[in-house]
Amino acid sequence: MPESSVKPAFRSWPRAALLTLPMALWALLMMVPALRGPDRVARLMGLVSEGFMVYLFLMMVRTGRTYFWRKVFFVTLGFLFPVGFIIEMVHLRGTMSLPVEHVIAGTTPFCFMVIPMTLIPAGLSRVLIFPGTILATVGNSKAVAGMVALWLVATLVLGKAWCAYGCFFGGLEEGFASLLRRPVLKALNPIFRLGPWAVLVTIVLTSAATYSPTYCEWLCPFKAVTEFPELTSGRIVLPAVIFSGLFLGLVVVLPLLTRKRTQCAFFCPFGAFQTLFAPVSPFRIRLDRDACTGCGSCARACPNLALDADGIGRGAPGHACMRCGACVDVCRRGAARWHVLGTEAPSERARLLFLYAGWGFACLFGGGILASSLTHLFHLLG
Amino acid sequence: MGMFKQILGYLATTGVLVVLILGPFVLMPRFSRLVGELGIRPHPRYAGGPVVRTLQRGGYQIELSAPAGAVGPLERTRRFVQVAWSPAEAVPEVVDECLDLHGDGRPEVRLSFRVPKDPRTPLQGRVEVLDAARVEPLAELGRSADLSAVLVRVDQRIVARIPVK
Amino acid sequence: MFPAPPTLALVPEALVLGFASGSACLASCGVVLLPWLTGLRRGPGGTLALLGVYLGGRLGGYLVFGLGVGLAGARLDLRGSAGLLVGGLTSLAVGTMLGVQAWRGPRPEHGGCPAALGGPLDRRHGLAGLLARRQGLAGLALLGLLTGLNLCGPFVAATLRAAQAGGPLRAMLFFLVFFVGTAVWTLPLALVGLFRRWRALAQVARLTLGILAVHYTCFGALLLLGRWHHA
Repeated sequence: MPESSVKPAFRSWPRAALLTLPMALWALLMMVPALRGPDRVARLMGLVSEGFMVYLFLMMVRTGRTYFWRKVFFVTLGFLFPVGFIIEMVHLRGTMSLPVEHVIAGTTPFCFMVIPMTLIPAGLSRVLIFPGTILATVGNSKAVAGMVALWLVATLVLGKAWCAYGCFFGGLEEGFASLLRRPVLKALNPIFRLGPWAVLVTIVLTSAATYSPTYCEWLCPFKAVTEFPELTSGRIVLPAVIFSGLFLGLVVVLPLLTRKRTQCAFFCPFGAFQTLFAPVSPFRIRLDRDACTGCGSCARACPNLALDADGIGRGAPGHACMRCGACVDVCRRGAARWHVLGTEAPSERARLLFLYAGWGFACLFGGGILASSLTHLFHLLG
Repeated sequence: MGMFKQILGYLATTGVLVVLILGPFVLMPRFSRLVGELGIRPHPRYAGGPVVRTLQRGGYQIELSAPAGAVGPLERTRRFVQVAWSPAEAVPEVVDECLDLHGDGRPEVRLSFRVPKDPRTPLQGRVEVLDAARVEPLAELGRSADLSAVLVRVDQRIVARIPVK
Repeated sequence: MFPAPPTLALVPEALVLGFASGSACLASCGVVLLPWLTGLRRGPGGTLALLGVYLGGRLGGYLVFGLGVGLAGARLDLRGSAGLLVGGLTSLAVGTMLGVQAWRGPRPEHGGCPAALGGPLDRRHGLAGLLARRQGLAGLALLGLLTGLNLCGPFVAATLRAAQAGGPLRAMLFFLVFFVGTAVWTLPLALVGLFRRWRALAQVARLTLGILAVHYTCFGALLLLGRWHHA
């Protein structure tokens, strides 16, 4: 029987547990630094977070479905990260805003979104156009070198799947996109799917021209939930209005109305940047055109608008595919499936191989953020 | 060819898993060190210029940096000289210094400010420009979004930045 | 006050200053030219021709500016409120032009033909086509003029030197040679013509123009309001 017409069956609990064992061991390994620390709350939250990640992996393996369980993690991460970050910043500085003292001290945590903007100035003049430190110090653990190293490993492991398993911002809009049962707005101009590339080109060019991180200064919507320059003058109020408007529009309202990740699909320059590295990962989604009936369920399910009629006809989603698994889970005919490049691995094997890699990174990075955020929250409330 | 592609595909998958396992223990520290060795430095707009002179004043010292400013082609950063007093707790309550910013023996500005006991209290300084041909017009210094003209406490230092021509 | 240099001495000085300022030039015009030219989807030769129109507008602006500098002499000071005014107005104008080009410019997604309404490649016959082509080319020349008046460090330095050149004609000569030095850096932008068949790239270029339009408009408004901090 052709593999394409058979959906993966439910696994038994013992078999699922056995397949989850490597992930559980990995999660335990990720917990070791927290378990060795002096903070009892941090140890407990480390256990809770990694236990949460292992449970979700178990359910993905047991049910044969990826998207829903991944979304539970991702939305939790998206909402908990800003909470933990804000608590940490208020504790350190007394304010959510970025004081000039911290800019001069170089203790601004380095965000991966900055990477595309820094490349040309760093290449031409060996300067970092960001108020951070290159190597970690006592006052700044989120230094540039460490974050770039993390990004490199993430890219080698995930490629474009960073957007579904790594990014701690995407969960916010994925959460808002899940609130309504049906979309209110359905027709979206497909040209805007190229928006992230336009934003990427704009910020790379303007940052190279002005030697300042123009995305951070003018456009980043997530400044609304992390940190922003102190609002001391009109020159700073205007960008604050812009990024607040972008956050409300692209992260809250449009996802709510369209049930899509509109900030990711229409705006995020880092998503476009990661797309350049998508070929690094051997994991793909493929559509079996023989099994496909053209119902379009996959395209409607895709949160990042990566699937359209062209893609379905071609047998593969577009460049915006984040490997979230929504299309595979929704396809009743099993036409949408996981694929390892070059191989004839059955979809379920390909999916498991991908999940070991992708979820392993999620435990490493996202699990750590969850633990840290919960610890901050516990200390604040406790 | 088909078998070859299969082998490559599974090798790539194995490679990804190896990268993941080695990532936090081997690769990330190595990559981090590599990035550190690239010789990239924070923009002087944020970090100030390199320290070129140090003046000893009893229990504390004053570090004067080289003029720093725009690096990029269209940057509008003003040139400034960073002056840092450290350690901050050893600095006297009242500071009144004539500063030779360019190291040519002629002071260009006179900066005076009080150091409050509470380190969280913002600093406020008065500036007297002694050489208008070399220093931008300036009367006061304090906390400001303009990184080329500030007077703030940064960690264990008191940092002043004076815009120069 | 410096004595006016001999006329011949102006040429190498202006050329060196222009060539040394090329990166600033490329940065200031490349940011808008790159998406503008990409959206027009001409081959390398055609793009080079369009670049020529752009540079022509820029040269015109330089010469007019040189004339003004030569007449104003040492009285001219672009550092301060005059500079903010010039910078603000030109940025607003550039922002407006970019917005119009993003909205009404060539629509590559409509059949892939770059000869669409309002662009310099409109292949309609008769008066309408001629007017559209001239309108498109005039827009490109105007863009060259406006982006050329970017008061970056090298341009201000050229202004100061031209003011000391000893008269409007010598100031214009200075700016002419300065222009040649800077223009050389922009020629590689014609290579975007190699990607003319890539329709998605042209669409990205149009969207980029829209974003840049907002950026330049906000930047111009801030300059005019005089709230720009030298960071």
